[in-house]
Amino acid sequence: MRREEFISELRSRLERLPGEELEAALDYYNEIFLDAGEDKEEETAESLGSIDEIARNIYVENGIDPDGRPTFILDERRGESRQEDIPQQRAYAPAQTGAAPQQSFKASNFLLLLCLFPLWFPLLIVGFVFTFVFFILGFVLEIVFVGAGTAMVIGGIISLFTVPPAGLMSLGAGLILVALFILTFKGVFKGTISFFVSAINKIVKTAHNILFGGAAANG
Amino acid sequence: MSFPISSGLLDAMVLSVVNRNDTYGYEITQMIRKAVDVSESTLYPVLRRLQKGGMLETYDKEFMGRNRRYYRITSVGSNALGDYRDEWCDHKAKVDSILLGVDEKL
Repeated sequence: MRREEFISELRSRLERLPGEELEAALDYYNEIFLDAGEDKEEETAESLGSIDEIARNIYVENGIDPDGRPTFILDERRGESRQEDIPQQRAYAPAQTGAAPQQSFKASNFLLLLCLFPLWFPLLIVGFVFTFVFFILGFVLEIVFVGAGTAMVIGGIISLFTVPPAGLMSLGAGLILVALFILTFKGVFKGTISFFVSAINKIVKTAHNILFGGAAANG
Repeated sequence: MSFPISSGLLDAMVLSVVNRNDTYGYEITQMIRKAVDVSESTLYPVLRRLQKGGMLETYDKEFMGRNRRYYRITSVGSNALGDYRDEWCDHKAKVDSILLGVDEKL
């Protein structure tokens, strides 16, 4: 295998790595090829070993599960990094490489979930309505901040010429409200959206675990 | 037969190689391979781990129109290397006393 082919194969297997880690790994392997010499690319690729194995080790070293299971077994990682020996003695047996986490559909759990539908469905709805109401409240509050703030600032400037102390007070209070709006605006929106996303994620995950027994238990 | 190399020993050997003078990935692996049969792929995680542990730091230097990443040992790294060397001497003496029958007080 030539250098460019090797690098692009490695890149495609390391997709789930954070950008910086990915670049560091690719730079390293690219350099090894270049330093070993252009006429030795085939030999170099052979001595580097299987690209799958390289990718697995890099994932494990970064605390990412190579098989993409939702829960990563930390023990596996510790065991791996302690036992890094000569290539023939890698902790990963080939049989383990191909083993996908076993997941079987649990019909009994599905029935149970179906029977309990009148119980959990309203709860789910109530939860969502509550979150939605909070979201609306936050939104209204932001509008009040910015609306009242702007009005007080404008009012303050106008009355500054007629009743200076009252004008100053109004101007100050208005600025405080506008500042509150600026400070909380991003948090309220970002917080609500990320809360929604994580809530949906959690619900889907829980449902998946109940129905399929969960990879954590089997994997 | 060959003796398996533990990850701690590999860390120590890499630190020692870099301790001599700043060097780059390919040269480090060639040095280590004089003693043990490891591939560049085994050494990559070792280098990365030492780097993240603050024992090695890197800088780029131009070489024939491209960048080469050089590794340099930090003070944390040379302290660790000192500890590794002490531990190794101790370990080696114990193994020798049994394997070679060197009669030495432990």
